[in-house]
Amino acid sequence: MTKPRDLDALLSAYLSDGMDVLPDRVVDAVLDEAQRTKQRAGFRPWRTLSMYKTALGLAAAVVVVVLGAGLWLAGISRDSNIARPSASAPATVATPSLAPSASPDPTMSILRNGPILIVDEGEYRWIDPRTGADSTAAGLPRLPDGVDEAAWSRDGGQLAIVVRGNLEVVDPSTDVRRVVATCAELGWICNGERGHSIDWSPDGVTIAATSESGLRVIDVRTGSMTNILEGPNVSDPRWSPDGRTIAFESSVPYDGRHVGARREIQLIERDGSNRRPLSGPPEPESIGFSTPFWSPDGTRIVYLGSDPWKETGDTATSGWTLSVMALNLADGELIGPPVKLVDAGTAFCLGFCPSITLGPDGESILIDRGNGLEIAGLDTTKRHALGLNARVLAWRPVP
Amino acid sequence: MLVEGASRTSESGRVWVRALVDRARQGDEEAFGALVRAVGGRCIFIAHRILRDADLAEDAVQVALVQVWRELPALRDLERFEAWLHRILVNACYAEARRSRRFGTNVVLLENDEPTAADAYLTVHDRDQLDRGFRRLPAEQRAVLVFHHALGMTMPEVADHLGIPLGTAKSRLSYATAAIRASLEADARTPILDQENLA
Repeated sequence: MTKPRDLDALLSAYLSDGMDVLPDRVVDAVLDEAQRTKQRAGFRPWRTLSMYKTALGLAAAVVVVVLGAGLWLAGISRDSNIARPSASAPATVATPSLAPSASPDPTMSILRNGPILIVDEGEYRWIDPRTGADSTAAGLPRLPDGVDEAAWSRDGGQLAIVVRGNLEVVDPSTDVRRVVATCAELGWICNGERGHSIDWSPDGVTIAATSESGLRVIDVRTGSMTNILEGPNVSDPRWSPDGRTIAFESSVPYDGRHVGARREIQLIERDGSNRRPLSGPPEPESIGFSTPFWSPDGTRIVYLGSDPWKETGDTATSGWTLSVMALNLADGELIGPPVKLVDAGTAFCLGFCPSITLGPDGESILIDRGNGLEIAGLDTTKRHALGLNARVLAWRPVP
Repeated sequence: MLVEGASRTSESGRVWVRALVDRARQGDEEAFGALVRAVGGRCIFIAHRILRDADLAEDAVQVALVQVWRELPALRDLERFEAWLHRILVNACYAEARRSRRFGTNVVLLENDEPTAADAYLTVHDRDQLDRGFRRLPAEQRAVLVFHHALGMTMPEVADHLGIPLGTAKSRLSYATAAIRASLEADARTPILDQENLA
């Protein structure tokens, strides 16, 4: 019926039809529910400043100007000392074969890591990283339905999970779960797609969590929270091994206005001070620097990078060419350009973009390309497919 | 302005809505009521086109707008309200699609009492074929088509409002368009095959 060139016009015409008036009963239902629903606590300066807001506003402006000038000068100083790498000019060290083997190399470090927690068809499973089969290892806790995110403490003695927006801690030896903070307390968007990511501090006392609201640190003993960073477009917080710094992924505006998901890696101190970019800005049309992980010794950050998007007009060949990369560090400062570690194939995001999970020992990488899980050694050409297509939540360290 | 369904917002409409958002995030329920009426048309326009089901669309909009009320105090930049609203709404649509067995299986055509502008361009047969192709798409791809073709957004705008990378938005658009085209071409071949069989 249609010539190819007509399809856009046909789609526009087709999509012009449909409802465009919200029925009164829905409006009434929304307003009824809103009356019963408490607004989350937020930024309401007009309530506290009322009489003095003009004066305080002027004072704040002066402070901002002074601080801004200070930061600008500090930025100049720092910029002159730090070499910003380019995402597109990596120094290749090793490029293992893309063809996965059927079984893992017995020398691979996965043998020194524990089971992997995945979500497959909405149900969680513990799998053996060597075979992809259900793990029979001892000490794996039973979890509730609807686990959305998870993270092991460094010693493997505690598992933090996000269930329906609530942050809970599970004792793997007893299966006892404890709510650290509810979704409402966290100020998270409880309904809709997942948007939270969590990581334990090395001492196992606090959890860094990101959401649309920003980055915050939660004390698991008391549930008290500290806002480290306000605002959306941050994710994947990763605590440095010394516990002083949190690395995270931050989306970068396309053109100064549109915020998308070209990402860069930034650092911030655990008290919220000294937020700074670590990676350079991403190449246009690349995914940039995503899913950062610290190596256990704190000397590098492993991440997933890509070449710019390649559009061939064919959905089978269009996409990003992905690589597992590393930024090397010394005393918290970058050393040289990004280093390519492992090819991760070409990706065509269809409701899912690839991600990686660094093994607890820092020597194996689990690649979730959206069409199957693969494990590769960072120091070997060996890799193997797990024969699974599932979402990875957490990789357990050997206690 | 926003209340006018799919049409792009006028400056005066933006200013008015921004004022309502400002008051609503301070807890002004009356302003929120006005805001719901102002943006409700656009919300149902989007949700209905993504979900292709009036009941599901109404549920998604209701969930999204209550969420907007709850989260409004956290919205710092009033200029970002529209994109912020769209993200919440689209997430509610995705959730509704996942929850419902009806999603993707109901191929009953939209009922229109009155001829629409689209009728001048689309035949019933066209609409039928497009509807079959569209309903086979996952919600994420439908959303990109709706924001691009029905709302007239550029691809950077689509990516911004859906909260996804520009490349992802483009790939979803590319895949969805290819899938619909393949569906239409498959439909178009069927009568020929039937005729050959009859011969």
